[in-house]
Amino acid sequence: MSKEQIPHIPNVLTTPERVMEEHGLDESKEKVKLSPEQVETNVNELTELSASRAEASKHVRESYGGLTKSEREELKEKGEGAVVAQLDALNIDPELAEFSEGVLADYDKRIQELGSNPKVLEEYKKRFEKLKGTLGNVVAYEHIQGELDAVTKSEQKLRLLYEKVGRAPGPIEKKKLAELTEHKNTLQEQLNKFELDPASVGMLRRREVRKMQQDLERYSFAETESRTELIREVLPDLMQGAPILFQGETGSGKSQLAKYISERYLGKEPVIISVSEQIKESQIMGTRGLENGETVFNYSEFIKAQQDGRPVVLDEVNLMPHEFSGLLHDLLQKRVGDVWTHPVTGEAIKITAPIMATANLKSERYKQRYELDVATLRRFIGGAGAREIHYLDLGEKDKEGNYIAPETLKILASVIADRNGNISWSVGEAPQKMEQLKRFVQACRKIQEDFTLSVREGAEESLAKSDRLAFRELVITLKDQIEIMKAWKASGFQEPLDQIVLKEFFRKAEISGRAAKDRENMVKVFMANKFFQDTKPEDFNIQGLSAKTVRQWQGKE
Amino acid sequence: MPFEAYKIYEEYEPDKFKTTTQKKVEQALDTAKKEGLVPEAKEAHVEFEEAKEIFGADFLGPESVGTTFGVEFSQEELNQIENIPFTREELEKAKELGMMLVLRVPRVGKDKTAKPLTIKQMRGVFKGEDKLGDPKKKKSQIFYDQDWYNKEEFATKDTPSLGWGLVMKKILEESRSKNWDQQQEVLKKWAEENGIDSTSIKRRTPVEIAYDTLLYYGANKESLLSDTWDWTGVQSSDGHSVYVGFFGSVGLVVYSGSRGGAYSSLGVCPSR
Repeated sequence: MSKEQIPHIPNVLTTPERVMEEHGLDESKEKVKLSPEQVETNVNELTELSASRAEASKHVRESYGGLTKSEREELKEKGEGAVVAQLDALNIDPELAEFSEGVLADYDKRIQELGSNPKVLEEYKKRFEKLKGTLGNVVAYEHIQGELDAVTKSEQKLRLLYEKVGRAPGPIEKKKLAELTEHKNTLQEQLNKFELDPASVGMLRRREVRKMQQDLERYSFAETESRTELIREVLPDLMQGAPILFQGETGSGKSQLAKYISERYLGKEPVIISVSEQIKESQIMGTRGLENGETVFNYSEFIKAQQDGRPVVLDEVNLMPHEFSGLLHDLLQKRVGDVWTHPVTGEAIKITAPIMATANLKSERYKQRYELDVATLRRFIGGAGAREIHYLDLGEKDKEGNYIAPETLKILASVIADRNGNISWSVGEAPQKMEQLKRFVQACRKIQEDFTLSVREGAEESLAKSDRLAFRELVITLKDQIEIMKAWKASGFQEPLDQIVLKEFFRKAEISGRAAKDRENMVKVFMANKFFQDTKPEDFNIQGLSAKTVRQWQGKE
Repeated sequence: MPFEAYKIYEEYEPDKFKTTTQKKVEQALDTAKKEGLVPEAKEAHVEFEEAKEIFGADFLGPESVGTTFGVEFSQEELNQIENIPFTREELEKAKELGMMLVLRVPRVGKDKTAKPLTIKQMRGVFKGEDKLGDPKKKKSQIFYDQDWYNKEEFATKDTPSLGWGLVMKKILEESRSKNWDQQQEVLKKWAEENGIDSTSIKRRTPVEIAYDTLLYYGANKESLLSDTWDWTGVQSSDGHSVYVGFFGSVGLVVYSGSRGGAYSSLGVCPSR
């Protein structure tokens, strides 16, 4: 790629320059003569401080409920009372706010001290410029990759359109498709030839981690490769307003996926309707009421969403009583541009967004009662599809047949990393910590797998088979794993991971003795993965789990 | 040195981002394989000077050993190491592959003061501040402060054997993220692809890794294995296989892991 093609990276002040612009030069440090080694040490420290300062600054902003620096200053000008009122309103501990402000001030002080030496600042800026060069390269790479994704999507969408219409593309359409394919190939070639050095690869990887962190913060969802693939497949149909059904085990992320697609790809916040067995017709269509003595019809959230052009997520649609599902059928057949007439008011509503639904896969025992009726299911299949969403990495194996969990690991790595993509593990402890993490993920994957099989085949049947364990109610979801990782990170990775799992999952899942057998089986799985080797039996607080059994699992008896 | 989060999963995405050099190496290897390139017949032994000329800074002979470990050679020892047991072609090929030529010795000191050059001994010799490397880029210590292997045989008894060795300076890229057995296959394949008798390729022992790494550092002021591990075939008392490396600012680190494990930084340096 030529230099002209590299996107422009604006010239912005570096962090030390910004800090010094605000606080001024520290004259006592300005004229100190430093040896080359001291300069290098100070530049290293300055680099580290500048990278971490962003996080410290974010903490201050968060502790003031998102107020920017100027807004905080404005608030402080109003007096202590106003600050206290703001913190009170946000239910924030003033001590915490003061602490985070103090930390940031210390950062600035040290940055000011180091940056006041012209030699140090000059060397720092040189290093920063080099980094900018790498960033330019990386952004260019991402730019081509993004364009390639967009062209691939367009090509796919057009081909789908012809398939739907049921005719072969004419000469003009063929030419356009050929142009798209050619463009795609050119981009692919550009990517293959791209000059990536190790520094750029490192930065690309870090940016990937950062993007995942941002997605988790914003959407509570992280788009991994398998989910990207699924989204690519269903998006062209969804954009035409076709409905989709996501079916899967509890906690597999169906609703979150629907919400994410809606917000990120369709650009609209969806209306989420939790369906239950007790749902009433009025909750679907609306209710009649009196307003100023006149009879009016108040539309339900569901209908209002249709009017506003917002996607609707029908959560657990399989719980909807069969007698009401007929109401949906008409709507499920509509596509963008179609008009749907409200059966009561007769209002013509133009369809602009799809209906997305989720359904929990139920065990054989509940299947008859809760299975979606065939007519409704057919309408989803004729739309964007009825897709099964399973736990990430379920059944994933490497070439040698070993179970692996790459996507889960990727998400969890981004959870425990800082915003620069680093984890605060020392070189010495990193291999052990990484092994612990992998064993943890392995245990969770086994539980999810056995839970899935228990649901599909019925708990009792699966119990009889080989090393499978039966799980009726409880499973460790990705969300649970993320919470455990957050707690581990919060402990500075000092608390053993087993203790965190015990505290963050087992204690929280006690639910007055329910699911004791599930919890017992979970302990067994974790122990098989070298967890809880020294945990006392009573610490699990599981009814019916004997001390002898625990000791046997621990290999102590 | 911070630990990059992506290292946790990058082993599962080996082809996601490849550096241009990696792509070129792959292409070159591919072409060489297709053309069926084979090594030529062996010739007689090579003299010091000839080897030095081929390897340049990667020739770690008696001089480097003397400077780094303070070893003086007896006449008998000099006779033993006089001939380098590789042909010129083998050495040229090795240099091209990124290998170094190392002279290893089993002891420090002389005559009565001679002591076996074990890892334990090296830790004693290089205790305190870094006097081996570039004074401008000193490490905080030569060996990372660990006590788990204080009583392990590989650290207290094993020494290098007197003689010459050819060692790859970096781990094989293709050996990353592979378990121990898979790495054996990688070594075999690497030997075949480069026309080397695969039975002559071996893993280094922990003491050899420590010795070679410190020798190179002392001679060239550059750290090998700065962010990678070289996995040995030697087991620690808990049955795990020892790996050595991560020779960064905090010194050389020694660990052991189950042969079934695989990490992106854990690879193997072929050695002869």
